[in-house]
Amino acid sequence: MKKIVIPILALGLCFGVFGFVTNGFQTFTVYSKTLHQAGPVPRAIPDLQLIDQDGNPFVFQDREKYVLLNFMYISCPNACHIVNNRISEIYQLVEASGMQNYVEMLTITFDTENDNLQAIKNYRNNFAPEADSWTFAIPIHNSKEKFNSKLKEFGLWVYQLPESRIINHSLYLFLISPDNRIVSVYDPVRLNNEQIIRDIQKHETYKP
Amino acid sequence: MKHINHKIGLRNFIIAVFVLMVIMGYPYLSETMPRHQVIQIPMVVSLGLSLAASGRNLKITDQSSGIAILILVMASLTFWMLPYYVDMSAMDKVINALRLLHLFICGTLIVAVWRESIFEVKIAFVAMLTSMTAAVGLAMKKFNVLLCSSFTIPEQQETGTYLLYISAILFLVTIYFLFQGWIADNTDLADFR
Repeated sequence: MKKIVIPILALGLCFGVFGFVTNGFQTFTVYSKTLHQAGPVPRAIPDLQLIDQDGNPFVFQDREKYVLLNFMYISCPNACHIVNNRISEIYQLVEASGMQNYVEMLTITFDTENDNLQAIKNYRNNFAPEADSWTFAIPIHNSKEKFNSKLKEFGLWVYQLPESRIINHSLYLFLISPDNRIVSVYDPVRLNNEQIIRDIQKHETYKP
Repeated sequence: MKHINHKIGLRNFIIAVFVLMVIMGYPYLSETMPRHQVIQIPMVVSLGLSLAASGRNLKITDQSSGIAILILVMASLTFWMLPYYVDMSAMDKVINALRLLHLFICGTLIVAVWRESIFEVKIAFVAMLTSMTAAVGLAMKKFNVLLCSSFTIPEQQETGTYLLYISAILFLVTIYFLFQGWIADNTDLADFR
């Protein structure tokens, strides 16, 4: 009996440590860990001042609809463009189901050194020239560190590879309610467009 | 006396290589994912194995404690394969040094347990190590999503390929131990008859 106890205790210790460091076997990557550290939803959104593609400044508090928010940068090798393609498809589904009066899209760039107003305007035209309810924006900030801490409050991990323009980052989509709270976070890698639309429809205040 | 000096020299050399690797290796050995995962880990575990193998005194005779230690060693190897800790060790040289020290100790413990272990324990350990390496390699090769933010998807897939090669080698080692055990069993049986 004693011979079995020591290996079982070792096994139990391993499971305990793994459970602890992965927050109950949920967070295995830096992306999921950062999201977990930001806290459960619903939670208040960090205050961000933004400028849209036409040069108009705004804050989240100005928005009256649900906002499906994603972050990107234009020189991204692939992931951002794939996600924006997905947003474009979701936008069409929103229009098809008559939800456009209740939901809008917002895409924010975090590469404030390279992405300017003209660049995001041109980029928007590739994806959504006709989409009135899809805004592209640049954040206004004093320092990159402060902006990165705001992104962490969102639950977003951003890391620029040394000596490279590649910025590795989380791909999450955030649903923000009209009362300025993050009410859902979607992983576009795991969820399909229909699942995201169904979840948006579930929110109580949505009345088509 | 001369023989002992050789052993001491070998141990000092192994420790010096390990210390140099910890101090000088970063950031070169953490610059790409294959270097970080496929070169650093086997190299540092091998250094630990060599250090323990150079002395005959280090051995754990109790089978039960030996199994417990091998479970902890396996968990340690798995822990440093978790994407979050791969990232942390690639970004922070202190965490990377802790990782290397941890894996170095794992290497010495494997030898200490191995010397007195029964055949079944050895085969189970190598088989688990093989399957863990193959699973991680396959995930890295097939996933089209970046698991570690310190690297790129091509590097991740390259690492996956190398890990699959390593798992194939470990599989051959497993087969070798299996047949070695089987031959030993049959020899015993023939002697009995």
